[in-house]
Amino acid sequence: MLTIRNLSKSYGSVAALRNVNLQIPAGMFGLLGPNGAGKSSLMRTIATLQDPDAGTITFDGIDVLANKMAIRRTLGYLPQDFGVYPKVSALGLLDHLAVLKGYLNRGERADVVEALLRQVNLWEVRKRKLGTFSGGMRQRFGIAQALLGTPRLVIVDEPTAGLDPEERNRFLNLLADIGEQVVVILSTHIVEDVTDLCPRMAIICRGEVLMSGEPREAIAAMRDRVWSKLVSKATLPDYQSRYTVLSTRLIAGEPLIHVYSETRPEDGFAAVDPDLEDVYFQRLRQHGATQLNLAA
Amino acid sequence: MFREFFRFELSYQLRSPLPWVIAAVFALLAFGATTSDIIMIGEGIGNTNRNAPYVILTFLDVFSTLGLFVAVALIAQPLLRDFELGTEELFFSKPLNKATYLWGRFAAGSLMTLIVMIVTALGMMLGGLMPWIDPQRLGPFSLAPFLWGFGVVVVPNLLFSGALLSLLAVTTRRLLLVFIGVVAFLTLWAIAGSLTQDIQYHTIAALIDPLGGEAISQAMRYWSVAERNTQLPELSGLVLLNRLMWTSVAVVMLVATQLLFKPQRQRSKKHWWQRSRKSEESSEVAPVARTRPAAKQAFAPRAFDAKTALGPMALT
Repeated sequence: MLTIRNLSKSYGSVAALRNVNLQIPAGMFGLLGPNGAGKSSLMRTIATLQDPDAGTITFDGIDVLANKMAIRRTLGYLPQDFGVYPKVSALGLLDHLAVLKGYLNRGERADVVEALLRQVNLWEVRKRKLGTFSGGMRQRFGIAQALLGTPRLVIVDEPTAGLDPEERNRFLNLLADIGEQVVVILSTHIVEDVTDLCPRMAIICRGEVLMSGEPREAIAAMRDRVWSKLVSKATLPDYQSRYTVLSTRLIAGEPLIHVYSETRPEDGFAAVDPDLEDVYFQRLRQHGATQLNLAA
Repeated sequence: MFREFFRFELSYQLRSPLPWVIAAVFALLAFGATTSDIIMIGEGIGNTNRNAPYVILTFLDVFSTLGLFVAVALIAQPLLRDFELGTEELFFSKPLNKATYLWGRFAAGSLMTLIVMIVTALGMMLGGLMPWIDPQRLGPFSLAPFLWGFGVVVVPNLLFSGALLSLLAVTTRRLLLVFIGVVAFLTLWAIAGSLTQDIQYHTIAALIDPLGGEAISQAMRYWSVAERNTQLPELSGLVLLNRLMWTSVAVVMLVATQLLFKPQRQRSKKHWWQRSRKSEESSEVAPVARTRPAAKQAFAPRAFDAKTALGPMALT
């Protein structure tokens, strides 16, 4: 169980994290939020790469901020943007990182490295230089190094951004295989990733946690409150001013809007089954409205 | 784990073309200066033997000064490589010891620089064996001046250069600033040298030169040609004092490097390829202009219109 209490962090005048409180049990946990929400700051703080201004993080009884080395031994971290050594082979760098992780025995290390490269489907290209790898291959290398040492806490930060659909699916399948006893935090702004993989999630925006819990429950709570209608580009601004428009999708060039309302807004609207995206946008809107009110 | 950092870095550098290119260029220059007068290093060979100890020491001193720049590439750059390439998060989230990380790489880089110097010295030695040189201008081949030169000039200077560059690297975290630091150092060194040119300041001049050249040159200044052809300076007096002083300074700098090195991620350091994303992020932090997330995803089959996603909020 990963417990985050009252975590705050500011960069100068920008508050990246405001009093974040989260309880994350074993299994896949989705951290959903727009860019700039503070997801990466939170991930890096848990991964011991930076210190917060206030708050505590505990993982299975270990105080993360006080015992960084202990956490690093059981941590796997896939950063949002990371480089590689272009002139080194995948095998060479993974082997080096394996030593750093603690695999001092050469035989054991070779076995572990081989198993990981096979798991991420990079064994065939293990001797190729990392500089020649495509984005998807690099991401797979990233998850391989994150899985070194059978970590019990795995953090993946925006792992599928920039991957093509096939690579994305392959990657998500890899994550899903990681294990039941492991805390896996998937930080992303892609709602589908959370829908596909995570039984528990939290929404974070501008450093604050807007909600945390099971997607199923949040979706159920929105039942009968989400309505959809195909409108025209000309009338769209009118609808936007009159109703709480959650999202706009273009169908053959015409906007299809989802509106949040307790009752049917007007004729022409059909009730739809809400999905996680509706939940997400509704929370963001609500948060934004609160911010506007506070500023007014 | 020190061994692993050392081994990995050394093999990385041995396989990199840069150090070998530098070594080849230096060796060629050394060879050329030894065998002919077309290339002059220092104030030239003059009347002494082409492979006189005096000449060898002068050349080694000049090359070890150039070694400052070599060390930028071979010692400072490896220490900054993770920040420059964006791999620092992969490393610092592992349970590594910051001392072994620093010094493993430092040691490998220093060894590589030493190898470059050795290759340069080989160029000099080879030059002295060339058949087209007037035999009267050559003394018997002896390893002694090279050993003395390495022990008293090259290695301590390497230690000093490495320490200075590591300190600069660890505090500035930008290779460009390290380079500027080296240029600033050399400028101060040159100014100090010219301010103390007057004979009455000769003791100060000998002591304030971290690279030892002035002290050694003073020791050999009034030697006759015969003495220059055969003798090596004594390791005593100003020469010894200078070496001890500056080696101690180097050690202090190394300790400071260890203390000042913070393996945590820097705040807001963006790599050059991230700049465009950063401006998108900061505009998103602004109160109302929140971009619809999926608009950024190439794979999204649904084409969401960023502006309309948030309705009236997007107006301001």
